[in-house]
Amino acid sequence: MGKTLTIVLTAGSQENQDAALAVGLAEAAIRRGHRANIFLYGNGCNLANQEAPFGGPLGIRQNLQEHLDAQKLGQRLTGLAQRGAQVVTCHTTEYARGTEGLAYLPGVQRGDVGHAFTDLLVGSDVLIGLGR
Amino acid sequence: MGLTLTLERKGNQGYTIAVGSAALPEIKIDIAALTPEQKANEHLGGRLLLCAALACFTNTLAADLTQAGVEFKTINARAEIEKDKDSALRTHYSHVDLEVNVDAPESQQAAFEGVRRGLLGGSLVTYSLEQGIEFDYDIKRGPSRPFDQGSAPEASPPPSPPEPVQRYQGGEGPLFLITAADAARLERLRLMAGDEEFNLLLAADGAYHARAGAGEALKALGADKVFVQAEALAPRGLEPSPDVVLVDYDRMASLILEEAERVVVL
Repeated sequence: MGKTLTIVLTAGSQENQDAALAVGLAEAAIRRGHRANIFLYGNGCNLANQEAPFGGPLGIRQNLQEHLDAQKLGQRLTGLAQRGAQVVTCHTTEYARGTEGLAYLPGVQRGDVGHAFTDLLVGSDVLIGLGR
Repeated sequence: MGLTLTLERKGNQGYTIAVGSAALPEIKIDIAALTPEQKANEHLGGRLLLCAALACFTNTLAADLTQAGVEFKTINARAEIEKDKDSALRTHYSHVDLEVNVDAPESQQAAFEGVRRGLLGGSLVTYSLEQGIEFDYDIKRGPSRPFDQGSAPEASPPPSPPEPVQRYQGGEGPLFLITAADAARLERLRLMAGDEEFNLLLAADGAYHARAGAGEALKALGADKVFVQAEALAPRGLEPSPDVVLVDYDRMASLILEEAERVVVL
C-alpha cells in the first residue's frame, strides 16, 4: 500500500524546471504504487488552463517555439488526473492573475487553500513545496 | 463509559465472545475444522479490528448524514490493513485504508461535503486507533455497490515474505531537497543540518551545486550521500562531481516516499 505525496507547486512551466520536476515526481510516485496530488498555487495556477491558440502569425522562430512547446505540461497534468492524482488550483491566485473563469484542462479542479488544500494536506504522508 | 467483553475458549475447538450488544449478542469462532494452512491465513484479529473500524466509521457517517439532511440510499465501505516492522522488528499493524462510497443525491453535494470534511478526522474507534495506526479515509458520493467481500480463509493468499526495507546506503537523517542554484541554499542547509546526519538531493537548477568544479564545497557540507537528478545535468552543460549519485525520477520518488525518514525542501 503506497503513500500519498502532495506537491505544492508555485512555479509555472516556463520560468524554471520546478514544474517539470513536480510533474515528473508525481508520475514516478504513481508508477511506484503511491498516490500523488499537485496543488497549483501562486504562479503555479498558470498551468491549470486550456491553451487559447493565437489565430495569427506567431512571430516566434521555429526552434524557440519547439523549445517552448517542450516545456508545456498540460497533457501530462491531465494524464496524472486520469491516473488518480488530484490536480487542484487555488482560485484566489487565479483571480489575482485574471485567469479565474478560463477553461481548465481536463482533470484540473478548482480549489482553495482553506478547504481543498487542507483536504490534501490531512490526507498526505509527504508534502513538498516546489517553485520560487 | 467503558465497555467490557468476555471470551470463552474451549481447547482448540473455538471460542465465543460475549459482545453484549443488542444487535450482536455474541460472536462464535469455530476453528476446529481448519487446516493448519487455513489457520495460518486467518488473521482474525486484524479482520475484527477492521470490522470495528468499518462499523464505527459508517455508523458515525450515517448519523452525520442524517443530521445534515442528506438522504442517502446506500453506504458501501472497504477497509484494508497493512503490517510493518517496528524498531524491535516486531510485526505490527501500521496503516489502514478506509474507502467509503455513499449513494446520495447530487443536489445535496454541499451538505455531503460538509459531512465528508468533518469525517476526515475519523470516528471514535478509528481516531482512537490512529494513536498507533495510520488511517487514510476516502469517502465518495456516487453510485454505491457492494464491495467484494473480504477474502475467505481458504482463498487467502499465503503470507508474502516481508519486502526488504530500502535504505540509503549512506547514513540516516533527513533528506534535503534543493532545486535552486543560489549559494544561499547551501548556507541554509549548513545551518539547518547542524551536526545531524543528512542526505542531499539536488534537482532542476539545484544540479549546479553538483558540477565537477564544486566537489570540494559539496563535500564540505558533510552529507552522507548527495543524489543528483541525472536529467538535469546535460541541458545545463554540467559534468557531475565524481562523488555524487545520479538518480532518475523513479529513484527520486523512492528517496522521497520510501527511503527518507523526512524530507526538507530548501
